[in-house]
Amino acid sequence: MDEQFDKNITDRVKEVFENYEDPFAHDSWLRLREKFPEKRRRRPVAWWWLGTAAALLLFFGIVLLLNKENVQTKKLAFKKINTIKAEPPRSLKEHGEKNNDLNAGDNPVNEEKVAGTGAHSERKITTRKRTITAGQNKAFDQQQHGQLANAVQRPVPGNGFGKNNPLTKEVADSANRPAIKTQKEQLAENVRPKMAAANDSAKHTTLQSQKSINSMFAQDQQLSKSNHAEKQKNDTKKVRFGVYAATYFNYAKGSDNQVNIGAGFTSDISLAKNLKLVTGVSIGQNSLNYSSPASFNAAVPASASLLTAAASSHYSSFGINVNTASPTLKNYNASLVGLDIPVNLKYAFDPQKSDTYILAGLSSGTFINETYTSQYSYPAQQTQDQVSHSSFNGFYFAKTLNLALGTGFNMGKNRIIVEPFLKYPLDGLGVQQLRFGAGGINLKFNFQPAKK
Amino acid sequence: MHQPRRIDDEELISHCKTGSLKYQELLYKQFYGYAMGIGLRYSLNRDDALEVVNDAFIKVFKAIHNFQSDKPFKAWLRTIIVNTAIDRRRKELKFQLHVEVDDGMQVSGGVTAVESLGAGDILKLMMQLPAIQHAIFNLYEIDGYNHDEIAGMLNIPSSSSRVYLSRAKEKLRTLLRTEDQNDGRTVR
Repeated sequence: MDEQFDKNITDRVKEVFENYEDPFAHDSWLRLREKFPEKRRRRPVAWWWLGTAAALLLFFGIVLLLNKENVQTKKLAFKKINTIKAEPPRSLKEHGEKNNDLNAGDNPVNEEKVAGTGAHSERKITTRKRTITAGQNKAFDQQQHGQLANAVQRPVPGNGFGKNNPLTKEVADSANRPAIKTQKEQLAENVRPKMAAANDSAKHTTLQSQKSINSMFAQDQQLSKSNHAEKQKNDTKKVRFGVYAATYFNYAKGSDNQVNIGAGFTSDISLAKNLKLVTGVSIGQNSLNYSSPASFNAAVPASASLLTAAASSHYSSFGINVNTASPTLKNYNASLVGLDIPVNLKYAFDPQKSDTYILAGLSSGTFINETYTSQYSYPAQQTQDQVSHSSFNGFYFAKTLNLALGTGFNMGKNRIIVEPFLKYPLDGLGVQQLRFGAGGINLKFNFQPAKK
Repeated sequence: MHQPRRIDDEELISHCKTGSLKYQELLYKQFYGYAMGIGLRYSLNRDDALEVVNDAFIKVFKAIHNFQSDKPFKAWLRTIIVNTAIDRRRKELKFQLHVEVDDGMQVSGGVTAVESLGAGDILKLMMQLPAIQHAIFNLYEIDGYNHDEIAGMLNIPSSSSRVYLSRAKEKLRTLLRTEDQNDGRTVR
C-alpha cells in the first residue's frame, strides 16, 4: 500500500517537473547576463588597447625608419659636397699668386671658411673674394681698417693678411653678422672705387672656374656615390613597408552587394628573387543586406530562423500566443568592422624591371564591432527593429582565401601599386557565421625607390 | 509567409561551442523550463532556484566545448544543475544532518489522489520536509542517483541516506493524508 503510494508521488513529481514550463525565460536570461557577459566585456577593451598599441608601434616604426633613411641620404650628399669644397681652389690660388698679396691670405681662415656648410658656400666665396681684394689693396685706409678690427673684436690668429683681417672670422660669428655686414659694405664702398678692373675680372674668373669645374665634379661624384649607396641599400633590404587603401564590394549569397572601404599597413619580406611573403594588418568595414527572408535563409539558414524563434520566445514569455503573433523577418542587415591579418605569397614576374605580380594566401582576423539589425513585421502590419552588438567575439584563423594581381607605377621616389583583389570565404565569420567575401581594388603606396 | 525553422539541440550546441551569445540565449531559453523544474525542487524559493539555474548555465557555457554531442544534453544539464544546487545548500544540509536523524514518524499511509497535485502543491509539500530529506528524496526518487552516489555527494554514510529517504516518504504520506482529511477528500 505504502509502496504504491510512494510510487504515485514519485511519478507525479517526475511528470510535473519534467515538463515544467516557466514564462520568465527572457527576464531570467537578462539576469544571467548581469553576471555572465562581465568577463567577456573586458576582453574587447584589452584587445582594443593591444590593437591600438600595435598599430601605433607599427606606424612610428615606419616613420622612424623612413626618417633614418632620409637623414642618411642627406648626410651622404652633404659630406660629399664638403669634401669637394675643401679642396684648394686652383684657379683662386693661381690668381692669388699672380696678385702679390694674395698669398698672404693663404691661411687657416680660408680653410676654416671653406669647411663650412654647403648652404654657406656661396657666401664664403664672396667673403673670400672681398678678403683678397682688401688684402691686395695696400693703400687701404688704415683708419677704416682699424674700425673694422674693432668692430669684429675677434682678431684672427695667423700671419699676414689673415691675421689682421677681421672679415675672415666675422662670417663664422653669426651674432655679429648684421654689424659686420654694414662694415663690409662700408669697406666695399671704400675699396670699390680704388679697385682696378683686374680685380673684377679675377673674381669672375675664380668663381666661374670654381663653379664650372668643381661643381660639375661634385655633382657627378655625389650622384654616382648616392646612387651606388642607394642601390647597395636596396639590394640588401629584406623588408619593405607600405600603406594601402581599399575600395571593394562585399558579396554573399542572398545579400545585396555593398560598397565598403578599408585601409592598412603592409610589409613585403623577400624570400627569393621572385617570391615575397606579404603580411600586415588592415581595418575594413563589411556590410551585408538581406532584403528577402528566402535569400537570407539560403545564405545563413540557422540565424534567420533562430532570430525569429528568439522573438517568438520573447513574446511567449509575456503570455502572448506565439502562433498568432509570430513575427516574420523582413530585412536583415549586418555591419562588421573587421581587423584583417593576411599572410600571402607574392610572385613577381620580373622584379628587376616592373612590379607586376600575382598574390595568393589566407586571411585571419577578428571583428572589432559587429552590429546585426533584424527588422520584423507583425501580422498587425507593425515593424520592429532588433539590434544586437558584439565585439571581438573570436579569432578566425585562415577563413578567407586571398587572390590578387598587381602592377606598380612610379610616383616620385616611391611606388604606387594598383592591385585588384578577391577575398573568397572558406567558412562563416562573425557571431552569425556569415559566409561573405569581397572584391575590389587596393591602392598601395610602397616606401621604396622607383624602378629605373 | 516565412516560417521559422526548428533548430535541433545538436545544431544549437555546436553554435554555442563557437561562443555565440545569440545561440547561448537560444539554448538557455529552450532549456530554461526544464532547468527551473530541477532547480525549484532543490531550492527553498524561486529566487534561489533561479540563482541555481543561472549559475548552472554559466558552467554549461564555459564547459560546452568539452561536451560530446552524441550524448544527451538534458542529462548533462541535469547533472550540472543538481550539483550546483547541492553545493549551494551543502552547509544547510550538513547542519540538518545532525539535528534531524531521529525526526521520523511512523504513520500508516494510504493511497491518495496525488494525480491532482500541481507543481505548486508538490513544492509546498517538499518545503515541509527537512532539507536533508528533501534533497535525498529528490536525488534518489526523481533524479535517479543511488545511495552510494548520494552518500558521496553529501558526505554521509549510505545507510543514513536510506534512513532519510524512508523518513521523507513517510512524512510525505502523512502530510498528504492530513491535507486530504482537512480538505475532506476521499482517501483511495
